[in-house]
Amino acid sequence: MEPSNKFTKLSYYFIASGLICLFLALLFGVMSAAQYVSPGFLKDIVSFERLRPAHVSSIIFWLLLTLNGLIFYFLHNYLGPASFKINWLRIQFGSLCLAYVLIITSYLFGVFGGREYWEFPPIISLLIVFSWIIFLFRFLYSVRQVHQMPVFVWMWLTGIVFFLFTLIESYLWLIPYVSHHIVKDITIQWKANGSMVGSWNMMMYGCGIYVMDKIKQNHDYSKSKMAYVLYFIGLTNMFFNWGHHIYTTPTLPIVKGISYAISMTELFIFGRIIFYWRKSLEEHLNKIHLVSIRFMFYSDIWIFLNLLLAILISIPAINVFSHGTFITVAHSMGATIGINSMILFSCISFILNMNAKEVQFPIWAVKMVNWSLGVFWSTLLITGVNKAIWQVSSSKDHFMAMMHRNHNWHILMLLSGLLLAIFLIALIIVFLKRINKLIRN
Amino acid sequence: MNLSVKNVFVVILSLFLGYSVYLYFIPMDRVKPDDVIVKGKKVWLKYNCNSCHQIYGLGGYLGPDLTNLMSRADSNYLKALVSSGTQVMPKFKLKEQELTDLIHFLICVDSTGSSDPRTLKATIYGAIE
Repeated sequence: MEPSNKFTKLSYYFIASGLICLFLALLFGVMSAAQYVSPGFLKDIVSFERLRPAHVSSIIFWLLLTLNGLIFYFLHNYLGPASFKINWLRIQFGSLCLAYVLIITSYLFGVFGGREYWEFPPIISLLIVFSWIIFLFRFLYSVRQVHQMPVFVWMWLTGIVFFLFTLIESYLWLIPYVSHHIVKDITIQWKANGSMVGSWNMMMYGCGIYVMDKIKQNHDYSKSKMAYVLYFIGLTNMFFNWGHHIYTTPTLPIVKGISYAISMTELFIFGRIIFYWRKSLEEHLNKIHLVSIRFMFYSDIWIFLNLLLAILISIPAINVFSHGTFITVAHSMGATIGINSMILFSCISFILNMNAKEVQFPIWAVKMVNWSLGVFWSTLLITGVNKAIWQVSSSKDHFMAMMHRNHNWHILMLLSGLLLAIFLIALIIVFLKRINKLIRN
Repeated sequence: MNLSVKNVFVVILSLFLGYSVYLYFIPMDRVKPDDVIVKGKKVWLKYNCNSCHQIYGLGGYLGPDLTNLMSRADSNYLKALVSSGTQVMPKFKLKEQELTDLIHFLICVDSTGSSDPRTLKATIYGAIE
């Protein structure tokens, strides 16, 4: 059942805001990359310590705003019309947007005070918490009478609850008991950050599963045993594998041991991808004319590549080399663009009805995004390996000498990143134009 | 709700909450806490040093890891670098007390351990010691 017009419009506004955040993230990202190629570029106007957090926060808000819009739309498509007041949803939307504007303004004026990935003054987080509490209450109210929830509802519920939990946890450093202890502080910071990424991945994959169900026109998969097995593997990893970010810190051995063991459970998912690759490929190719399936096809390729990389760098003995290098960045960029953004684009194209034959969609841009991402990702890996070799070398020279040796790779990183940004912006414009047309109609 | 899914969820959630509470309260640091660490950390956060530099490899990669900087360099070197900047790093106008607090923070970070991967040994199980 389609949501009513005013609710549909609001979900479009969420998505449009998310796309604008993605555009700004690309702008800040290219400017940041330029500082690797031309040291000192824009240093006195908008230096790297302002651009990097602006880039990261913009990406996070691309994910959060879009997920709000998608989950809201899909939930009521599945359950029926929403029975709560739209004004609360407008407040939810307004709070998140205001938070983003304040965050970017604080960065550009050099006003910080927060931790990595949340460098803005902590008080701004209250807007995110407020907005998210409205989201959570609305979600719980909507699903209160649902029996036998399909897996995508479990995934949305888990993601929404644990985003709030980890957001609050990421501010435990404000308590003197935590901030007085350096190692405990690092441990809890990465416990929160690691699980937080898992929480929005839960919401994202839930949306992807919902769209695939709608395309197949049944909920067989999302009520199957295997769907729940994979959900519980994801849940366990979200809760326990975050320690793979801090293997090289002097934290507790039990944190490292549990993280190593749990991270390796993803081998089951990896093995399954390999085992079923032929069937999966056939399913995609049968419906490749659908824009949503095209995006899902590419996301599956990036899931394979990034899962392989993630499993490798989750092995502590390999992590020792890769930690603190662009190998980590390759993983995060590959996951955020290749997996998360492709899934979000798939979902967006589905609800904007871009799978219809009469809709002209630039498939060439989708291909070029993925090819340029491939070059960008490879460049990051090569740069990362170069730094990894330098880190463990017995005759380690100065840091700047290593950066100078990587200079040509930094240039390729910038050029491929610029191409990637251009083609992503092409897709953003297509989606925004479509949203504008649908809102006006 | 499907009862067995709910039961499994409750079990995993309980384990997670128990683990979280354990981590919040178990002692982890060898170095005794003091207030000056907090002041120095606030300077580190105020100027967002983490965007370009790392502690234990965690942070941005435009600049070097600073975990063990104070083992290699003295405080005057750090003060000069921060105040004058480099080709890549902008000049930061820290007050004298902020510089002192930041140095104290980095000295404490240095005392927690080494971030040099060459000091870690791999085992046959893929773990490190």
